[in-house]
Amino acid sequence: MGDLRNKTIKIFSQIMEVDETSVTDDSSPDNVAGWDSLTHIELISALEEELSIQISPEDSIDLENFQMLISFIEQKAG
Amino acid sequence: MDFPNLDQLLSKEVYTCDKKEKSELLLNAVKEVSQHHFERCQPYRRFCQKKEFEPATLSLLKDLPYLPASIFKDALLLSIAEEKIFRTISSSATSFGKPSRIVLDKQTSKRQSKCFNKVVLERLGNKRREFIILDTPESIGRNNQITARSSTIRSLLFCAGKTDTCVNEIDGSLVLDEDKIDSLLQNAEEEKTQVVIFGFTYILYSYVVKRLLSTAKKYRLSGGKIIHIGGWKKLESEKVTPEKLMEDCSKVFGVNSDDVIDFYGFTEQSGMIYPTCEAGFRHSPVWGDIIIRDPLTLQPMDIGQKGLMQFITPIQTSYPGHSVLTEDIGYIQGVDTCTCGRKGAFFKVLGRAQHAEVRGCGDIMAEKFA
Repeated sequence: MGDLRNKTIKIFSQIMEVDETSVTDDSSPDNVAGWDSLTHIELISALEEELSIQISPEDSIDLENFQMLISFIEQKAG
Repeated sequence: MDFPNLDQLLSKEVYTCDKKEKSELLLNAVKEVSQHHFERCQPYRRFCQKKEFEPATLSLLKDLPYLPASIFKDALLLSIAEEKIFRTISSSATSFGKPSRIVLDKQTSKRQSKCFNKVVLERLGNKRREFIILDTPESIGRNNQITARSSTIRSLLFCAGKTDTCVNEIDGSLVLDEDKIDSLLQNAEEEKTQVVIFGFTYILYSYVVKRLLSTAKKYRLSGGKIIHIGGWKKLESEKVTPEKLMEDCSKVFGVNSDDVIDFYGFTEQSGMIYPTCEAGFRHSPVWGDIIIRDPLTLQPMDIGQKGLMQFITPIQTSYPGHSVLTEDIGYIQGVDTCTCGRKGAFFKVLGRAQHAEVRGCGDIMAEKFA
């Protein structure tokens, strides 16, 4: 699971253009300047591709912070 | 701020509650939100007091005072502290140069997005699709400055997979990239990809459908959907009705006519979107309702009668936009009985009232093309 988290942080930081060390469970559109509707879509697409998972539009709109994102991915991968 | 009645309303499916179930839920949420605006927005409180209206006594939605859409051009109404403003949204400018302006806090912005997304997914299905955008690459690019047009396009991309644009801006004018759209459509046909073609109504017809009709090009986009949004005013001179647009889209793209979807919405109730259903009507979601008013007396009208459309929804808590009388004319066809199966009042929008000077995004867009 640690590996999955690290991969997710890496993808997240590349798309949101933030340092990997600044990503926490509380990271959200409220405190990550680059996290808007467009980068959210880019993030979901990248996660689908890199982690070989499927995220439906309905699921994607509920992923409102990094904690929710990682929990969802771990659940999918598990 | 907590809004338990509103939260309860928003936990319901978009179109499954019948009138009986919805009435009380919606009334309670509207009452709660009206009280909130009454307490926190001084101009709204004064307006209610002049009308001798006390939110706590509201028992019928038709008795809820409405603000004319034009008021949002003259005043920036706030029901939150200024430091809580997260975003200010402006409509496209009118011929008198005054756009409507509304303010959102994070809570309202998030709530509006969720409501919008739920309606879109209900109509398009919970599936990521390839999008062909009838607009410029900049409209979906990473920019610091986001125009109203770009914002409208972006709001739909949450259900998009691969996204392409096929319009370029050259010397200030927009030009359709015919080779690109041809290649994208041919590819979608060969791969049997269920694409979504999305654009402003005027561009879709005048620069894509009309052009393709003239070249006799036809595609077979099985399962594809055409979504358009924006004003019809520019198309009125070309005598293009919604029926003609639908027919021509079916002819050119080879999609079913019920897969040509017209989205209606307005800035003053941002987050509320009314797509046409398979039967050609628009539906009030569980978190909204519509009243038709006589243009002269402003009294509520019966089902089937044409008049000014008043929209009620409690989803915005940062400004008192919960009851807005638009300058659009329409009629209610019925409640809960649409052949598409969705519950709620179902209605048609016929166009702007004759005196209205307001122009929609699509019309502004059209001028760029002219």
